[in-house]
Amino acid sequence: MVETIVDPRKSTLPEEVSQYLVNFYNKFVDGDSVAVHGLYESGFTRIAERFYKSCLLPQSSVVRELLRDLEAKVQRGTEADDDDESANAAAGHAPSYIELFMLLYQELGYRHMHMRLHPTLKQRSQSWSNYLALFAHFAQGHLQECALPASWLWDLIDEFLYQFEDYHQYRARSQDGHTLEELETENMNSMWNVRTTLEILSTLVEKSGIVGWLREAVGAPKPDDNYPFASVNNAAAATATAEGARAATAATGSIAPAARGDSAEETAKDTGGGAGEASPDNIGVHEDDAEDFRGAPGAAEEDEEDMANDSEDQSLTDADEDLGTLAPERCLAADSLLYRYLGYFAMVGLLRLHCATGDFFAALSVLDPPSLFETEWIRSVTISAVARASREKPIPSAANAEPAGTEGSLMQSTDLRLRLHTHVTACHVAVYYYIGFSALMLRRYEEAIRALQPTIVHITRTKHIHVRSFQYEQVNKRIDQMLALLSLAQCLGRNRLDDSMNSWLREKLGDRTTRIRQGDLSAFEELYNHACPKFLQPSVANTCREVFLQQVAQSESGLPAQLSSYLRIYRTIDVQKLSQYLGLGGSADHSTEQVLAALFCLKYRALLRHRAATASASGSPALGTAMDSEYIGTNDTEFVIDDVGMVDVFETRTGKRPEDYFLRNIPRLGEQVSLYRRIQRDRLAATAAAFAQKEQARQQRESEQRKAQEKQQQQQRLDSEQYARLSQAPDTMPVLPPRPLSLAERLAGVERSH
Amino acid sequence: MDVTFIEKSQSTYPWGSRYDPQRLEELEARVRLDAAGGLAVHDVATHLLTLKLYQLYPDRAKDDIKGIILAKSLMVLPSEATTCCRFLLKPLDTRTTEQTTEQSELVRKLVELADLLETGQFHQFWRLRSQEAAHGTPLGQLLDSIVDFDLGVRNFICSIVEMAFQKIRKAELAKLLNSTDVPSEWKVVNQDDGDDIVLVKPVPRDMLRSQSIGAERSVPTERLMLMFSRLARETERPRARRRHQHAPRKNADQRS
Repeated sequence: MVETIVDPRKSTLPEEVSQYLVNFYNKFVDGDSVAVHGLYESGFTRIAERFYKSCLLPQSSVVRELLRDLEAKVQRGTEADDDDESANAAAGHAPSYIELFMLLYQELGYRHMHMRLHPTLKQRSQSWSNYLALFAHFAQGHLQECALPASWLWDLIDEFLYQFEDYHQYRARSQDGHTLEELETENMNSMWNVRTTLEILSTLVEKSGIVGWLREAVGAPKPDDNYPFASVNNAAAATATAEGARAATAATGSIAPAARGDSAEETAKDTGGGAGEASPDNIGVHEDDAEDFRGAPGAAEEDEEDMANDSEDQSLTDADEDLGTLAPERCLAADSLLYRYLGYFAMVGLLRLHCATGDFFAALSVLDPPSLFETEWIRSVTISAVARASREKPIPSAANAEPAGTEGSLMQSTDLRLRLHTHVTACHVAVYYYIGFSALMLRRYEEAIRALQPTIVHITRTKHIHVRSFQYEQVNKRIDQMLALLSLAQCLGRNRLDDSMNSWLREKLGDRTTRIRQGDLSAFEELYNHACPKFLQPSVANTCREVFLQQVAQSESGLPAQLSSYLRIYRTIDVQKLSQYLGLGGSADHSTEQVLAALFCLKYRALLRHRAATASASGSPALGTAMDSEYIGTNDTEFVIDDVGMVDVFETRTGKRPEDYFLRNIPRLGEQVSLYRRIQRDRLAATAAAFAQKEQARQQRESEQRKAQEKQQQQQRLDSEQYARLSQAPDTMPVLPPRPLSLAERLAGVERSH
Repeated sequence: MDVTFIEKSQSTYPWGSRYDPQRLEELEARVRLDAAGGLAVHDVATHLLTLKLYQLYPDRAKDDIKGIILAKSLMVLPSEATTCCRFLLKPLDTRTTEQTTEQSELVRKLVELADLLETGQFHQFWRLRSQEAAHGTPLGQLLDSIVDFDLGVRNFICSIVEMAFQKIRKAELAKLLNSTDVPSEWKVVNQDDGDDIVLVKPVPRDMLRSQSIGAERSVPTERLMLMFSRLARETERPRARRRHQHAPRKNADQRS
């Protein structure tokens, strides 16, 4: 129940508000998602602005009364039986429309509260339980036909996480305040619990089956056997989702035929649908993909044993789990658009949550199902499928290809309907922001750039479309942060961006871009502080910042940086001399060690870059060992140390690349020329048309004149004939005086004389 | 961990059990298994999940497990495992604001070792390591208990050495690797003065020249084709253009 602190209109709603609510409810029940979308986006903000700018929304009991009356009037079936609504909800039955609407309405109320006012602890706790109830309904699969637009779903998840972060910051703030006793009285551990939040989101992802649906829709083969993820979480998730199954079927024996049958049917379906591969893959299962629907029937038997013993140790090593009982739930994502969106957004929510707790690896692994990097992923996977024998070999073309160019051409080929995050701009921006940040923290600089750059360009180009002020500023802020991240990634990863991008960065971020190139640590810190997201707790934030700055310091400042500057100057130099130049005192051995250490540091950085490049090319995370013995070329200074302690430097001059310049500008020029020609042609056509029109008008006028003349002549002839006839028959008729000239004749006479 | 126990715990908790603290026991068992497994066995996902659960439930955190996880991540450098671990070491305590939750001695020393490795100070690293081993500290015992720890670190150092050196004196190599073994791919050339030279895996000659990067890049064919087609169009146009432009001009004359 939403508390009203000061509300003069306690029991009666203003007419407009009640009308709006009634309208909203009706459309919601009718399933008219377009109307609901409009009402939600503009209507709600309008009403809130006008009536409830600084106070809470009307109490939910009032709204409930209103709706109950409405229902009673309309008598919409048996759903108006609201005495045991809550009981129904607890028992897991489908909720009535009123119940659902009330939950959603309350959510809106809490959102309003968080946005405009300062919610108290009690209100936060109420909001938490509201969310729990709402997500419980979602998780039980009741809401398939609900008319909730995608933006609302995203806002649900977004707001959920926002309130989560807000709550923890509130806790952190008020620890030293006076509300300590109040904190202790409530049940602290359960409210806005990190674990529960994680679990909720994971459950949403699993229940909606979004991963399987995406995989099938994309048609990509599963990750390969060397994928190092054991399905540890599969086991737990499997037991979680099997809980419902077990409740239904008491004996585990009944699961076995279902499992086998379903999985066989599924594999048949898959092969029939031609979705990638039909080969049973017993090992490669992703950790978040709890239900792996492509498991071989053979594996199903093993898993059934596992479930019977529930020895999770076994399932840890045996990495495949196939719960065939989840076949009905699989359809959730396939059939219901709402669940598709919900699962997708829950994945994004997980990404954000993992980032907030500092677990960047888990954040990136949430997205491994082919949804977001499907272009790169598919391309690299097909390449590796073609060259299966040399799976471990790095693919230089994939790694070094221009990110913007090739990605652009490939992006069009993938189905837009799969890239669900693009349907809501805020989601799109959030996704790539968090991917970029996680990649940056994990030192995957190329991946970060690949995530950030196209998004920034795309969003800024289409910014004018989204003028809805509510999300507009937020999107702008995110774009700024992404720019900062991009400059960091570019500097640390020694990558080179387009010139246009570079100049834009420089203009936005000022001299910080130049300062980070020079190794100024404070500039790094500034940019990082600007760009980092809200962490869960100050301790987490500090840890992340420290680790990042330490990484930076390792490679950017201190000995390695000075060393690289010396290496740029010299072709060959002695280690001893280097230690001298660097001003390293102490014994010869010690200084040599230090110099060597710095040199190794540079090499390590190059190794990391190479690792990241191969990892992103082959589509699997960089967890392998460094036994790759191929030559590693970098854009940086290359050097080799000799046995006598001489360092030989090989300079890599990056020559000017005229072909790029020409390639870029020739089409541009061509476009300009054709534009010019088109304009000119249009103008010529316009003048020709005008001329033709004038001609036509003139001709028309002339013909009209001619016609008028002819008519006059004809008239005259007639007159003369008549006169002649008259003059020829004088007896019969008296001589009439000549008929007086009519006006027209007189005029004609006048004209003729002219 | 039998069925009934899991069911009981789940009946009170309606959501999933991915992050269930009850799982810590078998996760830890897995980690210990990995420790004994040597180089080939390294379940990163489990390790990170364990660390995450330690983050969420810091009172159940076990130091030696953390130590094992960190040490195993050092063995697989230059993978990201170490970086990931670093982020997950601090606990997410929602009850206290004291940010001075110190890591234990063990973990701190391991982080220090990781730092040494990542900054290339291999001599220092081996010094510390042997110190620990000699004094029989918990860290030393831990590192000894992990099978092939030294081997993993040596692999990493070898890869760096491979990139950095072409020839290296055996004595120096021994100092760097802290052992007198030489990797099998590297040839040892004996010299008379007793100082052997190890030929690190040679790098192809052409790679070692000073290169200018721009020259090697090949132009993708599609863009070339675009350019050529446009050029073709441009060179044909003038004829057609003249013809086209004459017609309206005639009309203009006619008009006047």
